[in-house]
Amino acid sequence: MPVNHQVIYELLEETVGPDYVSDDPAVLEAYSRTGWILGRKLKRRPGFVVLPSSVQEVQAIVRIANKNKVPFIPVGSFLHWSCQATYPETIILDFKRMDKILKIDEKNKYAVIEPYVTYTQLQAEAMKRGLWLPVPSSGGNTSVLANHLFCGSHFAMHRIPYYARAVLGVEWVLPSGEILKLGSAGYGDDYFWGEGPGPDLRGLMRGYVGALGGLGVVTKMAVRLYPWTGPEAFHCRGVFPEKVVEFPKDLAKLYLAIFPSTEDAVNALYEICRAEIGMSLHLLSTTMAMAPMAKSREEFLNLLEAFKDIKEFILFMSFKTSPRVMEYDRKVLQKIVEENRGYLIPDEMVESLQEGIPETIRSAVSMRILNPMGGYDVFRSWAESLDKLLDQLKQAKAFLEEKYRDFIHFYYMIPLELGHYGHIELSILYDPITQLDEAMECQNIGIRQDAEQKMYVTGSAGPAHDILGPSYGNYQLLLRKIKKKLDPNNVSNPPYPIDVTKT
Amino acid sequence: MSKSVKELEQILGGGHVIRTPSALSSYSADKSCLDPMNVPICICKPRTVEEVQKTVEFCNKHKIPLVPSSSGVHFYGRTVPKDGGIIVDLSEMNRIVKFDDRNKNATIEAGVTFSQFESLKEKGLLPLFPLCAPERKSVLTSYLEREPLLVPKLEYYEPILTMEVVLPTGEILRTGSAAVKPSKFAEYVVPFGPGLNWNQIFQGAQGTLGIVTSATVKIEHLPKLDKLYFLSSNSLEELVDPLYEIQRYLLGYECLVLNDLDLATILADKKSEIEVLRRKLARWTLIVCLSGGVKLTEEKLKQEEEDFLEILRGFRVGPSTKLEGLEEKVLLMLRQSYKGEYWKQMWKGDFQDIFFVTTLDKTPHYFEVVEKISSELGYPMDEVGCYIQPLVRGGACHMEFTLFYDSNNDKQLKKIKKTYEKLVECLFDGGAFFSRPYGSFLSKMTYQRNLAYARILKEVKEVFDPNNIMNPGKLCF
Amino acid sequence: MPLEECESILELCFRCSRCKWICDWDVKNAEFSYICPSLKKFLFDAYSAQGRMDIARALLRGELDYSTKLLEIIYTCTLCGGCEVTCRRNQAKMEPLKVLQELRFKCVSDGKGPLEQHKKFAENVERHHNPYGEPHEARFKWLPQEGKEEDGAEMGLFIGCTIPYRLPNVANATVNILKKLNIKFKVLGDEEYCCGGVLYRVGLAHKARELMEHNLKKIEESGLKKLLFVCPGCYETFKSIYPKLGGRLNFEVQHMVEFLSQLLENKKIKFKELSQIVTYHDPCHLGRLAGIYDQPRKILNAVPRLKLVEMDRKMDNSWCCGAGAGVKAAFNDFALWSAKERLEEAKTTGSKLLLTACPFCELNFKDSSEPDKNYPEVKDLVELVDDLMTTL
Repeated sequence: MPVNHQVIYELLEETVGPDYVSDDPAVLEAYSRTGWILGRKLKRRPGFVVLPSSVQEVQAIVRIANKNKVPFIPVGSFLHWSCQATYPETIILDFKRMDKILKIDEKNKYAVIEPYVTYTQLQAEAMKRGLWLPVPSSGGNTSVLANHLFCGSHFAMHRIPYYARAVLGVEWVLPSGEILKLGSAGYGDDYFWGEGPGPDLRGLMRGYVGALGGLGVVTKMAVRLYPWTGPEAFHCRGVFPEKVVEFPKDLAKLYLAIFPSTEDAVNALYEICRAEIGMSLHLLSTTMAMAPMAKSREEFLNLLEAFKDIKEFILFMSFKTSPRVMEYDRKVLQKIVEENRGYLIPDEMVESLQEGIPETIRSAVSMRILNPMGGYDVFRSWAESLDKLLDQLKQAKAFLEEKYRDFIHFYYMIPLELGHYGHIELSILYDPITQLDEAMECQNIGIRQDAEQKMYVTGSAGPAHDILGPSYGNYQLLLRKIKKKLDPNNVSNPPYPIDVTKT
Repeated sequence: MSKSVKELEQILGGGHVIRTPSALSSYSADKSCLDPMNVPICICKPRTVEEVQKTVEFCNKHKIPLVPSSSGVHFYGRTVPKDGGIIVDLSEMNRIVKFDDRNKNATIEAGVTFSQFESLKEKGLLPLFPLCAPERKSVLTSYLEREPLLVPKLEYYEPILTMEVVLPTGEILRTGSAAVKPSKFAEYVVPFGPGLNWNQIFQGAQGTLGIVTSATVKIEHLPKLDKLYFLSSNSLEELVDPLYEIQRYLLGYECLVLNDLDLATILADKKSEIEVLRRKLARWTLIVCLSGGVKLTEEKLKQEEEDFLEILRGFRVGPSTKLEGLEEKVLLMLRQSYKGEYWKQMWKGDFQDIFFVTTLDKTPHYFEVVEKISSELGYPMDEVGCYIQPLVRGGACHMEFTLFYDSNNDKQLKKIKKTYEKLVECLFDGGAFFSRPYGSFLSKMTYQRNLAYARILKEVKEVFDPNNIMNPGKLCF
Repeated sequence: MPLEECESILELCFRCSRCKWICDWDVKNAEFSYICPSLKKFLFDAYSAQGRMDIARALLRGELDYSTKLLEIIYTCTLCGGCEVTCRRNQAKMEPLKVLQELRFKCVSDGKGPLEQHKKFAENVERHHNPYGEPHEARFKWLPQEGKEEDGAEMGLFIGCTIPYRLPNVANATVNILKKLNIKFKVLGDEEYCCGGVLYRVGLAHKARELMEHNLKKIEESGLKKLLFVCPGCYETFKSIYPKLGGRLNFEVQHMVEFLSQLLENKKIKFKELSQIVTYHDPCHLGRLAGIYDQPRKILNAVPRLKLVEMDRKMDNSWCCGAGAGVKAAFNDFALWSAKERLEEAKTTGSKLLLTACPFCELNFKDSSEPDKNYPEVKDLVELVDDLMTTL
């Protein structure tokens, strides 16, 4: 059925009002691109952008999409390339009018939020109430709800779960327009629990990463919060670039340790997990640590040169979860580092590092890795046991060092859930003007290598499911069936989570 | 039917398809009083995943219902074959395939029991226990059914990492990073994906979506030093805030609340001891196990203890290391399976559980609701056991009431059913969330009040089990 | 740098959305976390720095045509610089403000800009040397003849356009202060033309250059060694924009707030007490664009019994009043809305007095104030100093 743009526009206008829908090219241009390799390559304007204010409006929009057979994409802060339209006449749902923190339950430690609440906003409000949640690598200005649906990889995953585990009750508009409520939300206004009843349908919302808007729109979500023993707010002095945060010294502390080999470092990671100490734990390549500190490529290269004898180090954060725990953490860390032939860098040498704590907590430093080159993307990203991650890393690094020497690469490895498994990202820094095509080629090779070598990828989405599926027990066949069941008209951000036009 | 049985015997071998009246009878009902009996055609006992597959393929082909069962212990009607069919009993698939100290996990088959699993303690490892798991109970069944675990400080809380599932079509789905099996780059320990979180979908499914034949599950390290603390009170309300504080500061390992009846019954060696113990105990006991971990254990215990005592200063109820000389028994209670006849059967022979998820602050209210209704129905409140298990650092809790009765007494049996249904209805109306709806009464109530959820579950069911052979009649199927 | 040469800047944008929000460290309340007024008002991402950068890129590549909507998007930006502060924390090489300004130059050079309302005030400047179209000769009406020139004065007072024509009380307060301190000054009188800042900001760089050339010539001829400003818009124009236009300043420039702060430091002034809660609004042209934050606070903290309660969005996070860069002229409703947002924020501090150091902010706040909303009274810091100051 041919799409009648004007008819759709009028229906959308009737739903949300004339001020909250647009098909003007200048407006649409701002929803056409993201900064990832794929995002730069797949630039496309959607057909419409609409700003709903309620779940009823969302339902109506979804029904319009179904009736007129046009795709829709619910977006958060639009950081990820899956927010970009794949097909013409796509309706983007921008949730700026649904930006309320509906509830913070201090005792039971959760918040109920609408889609456009950002991490910074939620953390700031939570801190006033003795709670917090870590900001993920995407930064404090991303949507909590969207990120919990999509990824939720943050610096404290050693102890606080990856956000796939942190979703509680949910209000979900299915691709058909029907509302589905998960967990306790299905029985009243209390969103405190997400499982069931019976089989846990939160399992349909995401895998290691999410369905990328391909299975409908979540309009309300409860997320876990965690006890915060720090101040109610950050108090800052000065202005950028000299702004400092007055942060209590006894609340958190960062430690750095170096080891003679990566294997020794990984052994230390295991021991730290076994001892169940600390809030945050990473094995970082030196390149990863230096990138956010450098303001230019030259400065970055100078830093790398200065630290060229140190390939990587462990970064450990102790946090005052109870009055005396930090002292215990320090002693155990010292012991473990020594037992694994490492060297714990003395406090006085890492004094300035402590200034990074509030930045880590509130902003997540990671977006500052854009500084040296301007372009950044993930080459490979896996989850597995720490030992196997190390094997995978060696393989992939060797490949990059041989075939793509011009890219600066870096990695971080983080144990999850006190070392039951881990996650690693091997990423590249590139110049987006001169190296975009090469970066894309490199990434495409990466996913194929994952399939050939049967490494368990964390970031698979869209076409990747069909590339990886045959090596992963053909799960993509089931995924395709689920998509077809829930989205029979294939209007919810096709081709995500999987392309149903393929057989 | 006998033709089918013969074909199954060919698949599994004669000794592994059982039709004796006593065996059939044992699967036709269980300890729940909820649903009527129904006799299966036979019991199949596969020994390998290939045999499971073939059995399932066979049932699929001939549209014969099948009910997976891994446990020797059944309380909630889950494995009673509502629509007839066969029982697929996985109890002979009972290997602990491997355990991994370094990565803190064990790979177990479906038939591994808690009794077997706790042998890992000899290796310095600690399996994650629910409260007093029956020794013959399948570990995997317990985890799949989301039985609450005793250690709320582990935020992630789900013990299953990866699973191998035989789908109702006979195909195999491996969840998480087990999907890449076999791979030299994997140890099959990542719980998410691929694609969707299949782990979550199969949990709580009561065997209606597939048969889990094995799984890799989390284990922890056995603390080298422990110290139990007890907070005792006759008022549940008095224990709520201390419990929140303990969880907030991430202190302690195992942590739970039991009323006098439950605690006395668990700790009693025989029926006659129950009343004696009960009289010694306060109405409510909050049990916290502080542990020294595995490194600098004495320092750890000291740190935990000092923090623990500091944060509890100011509460009316003070902590004590004493519990009427029962301290050692309590520690055993926390760290091993329950041996012999199940504790809930000791007192009157039978029991009916009512459990749901709620928040700690609401538990006194729900206790009052149960008190009121029981009184109205003439069910004595001092015959109701109560167990509260904080979940995920106290963000919620599992609340469980146990009604003890003698099923040989018809009057009691009728009363129990009536009391149960009335209590469930009132608790449901009062906001208790029944995340694990067992039995027809509760399932019906649950899904009728959330039709959208039921509808989507059925869509999912159609994907996995288009012929609806897998434990039909359960949940909303 | 013309827009065409900004490609490397445009390619740096990762769409991280920092440009929409204040610095995350400073967020205390979710309610006061936006930094970009046009985004908060119009909601579509096109109205943020990120959106405008996307538009710039598309214009350069011929992927987008000019339209009313496009011009509206470009010209609803007040060029407040809020986006630049937060963006550069992630990307030190980013210059979103430069792109936003260059977009306007491109509109003008492509014959599409500025907007009619801007053309109107440009005409006023041409004819009357002020954007309001008021008589040029009335520029110094507020100043008695004998005050216009003092023998031996090496310091000039550049009064700008908004103060004399709209807020003469601020001009009077300034002169009162100087007189109390016996500080000699002179004014350019009829030779003072509009600084040209607002013309530059709407894209009329060539017209701004003409004004610059005139003003600098007259200042040179006057022999002044220092020029004092009360309007931050003029101050920032002289300090930052004139050099971009090739102008050379052979004299010192100072804003009144800096001047007063120095006097305080040198113990030349003190204040009578005032028992009141006040709050302070950092004007964009004084704060973010000129780096003056501490001085007004030093002044306020020196008033005995005065309690300064800061708004959440202070200093480099200051919420723009909504008036700048031609927005007040072309989109008055939006400018008033932005001002109201700020007044609501000021209300939360419990203050009855909102102080600022910019006449354009003050005017816009006053225009938007509603009696039944209990907004704080708005006043220029210079007026407060005039009220309370004593000499030592």
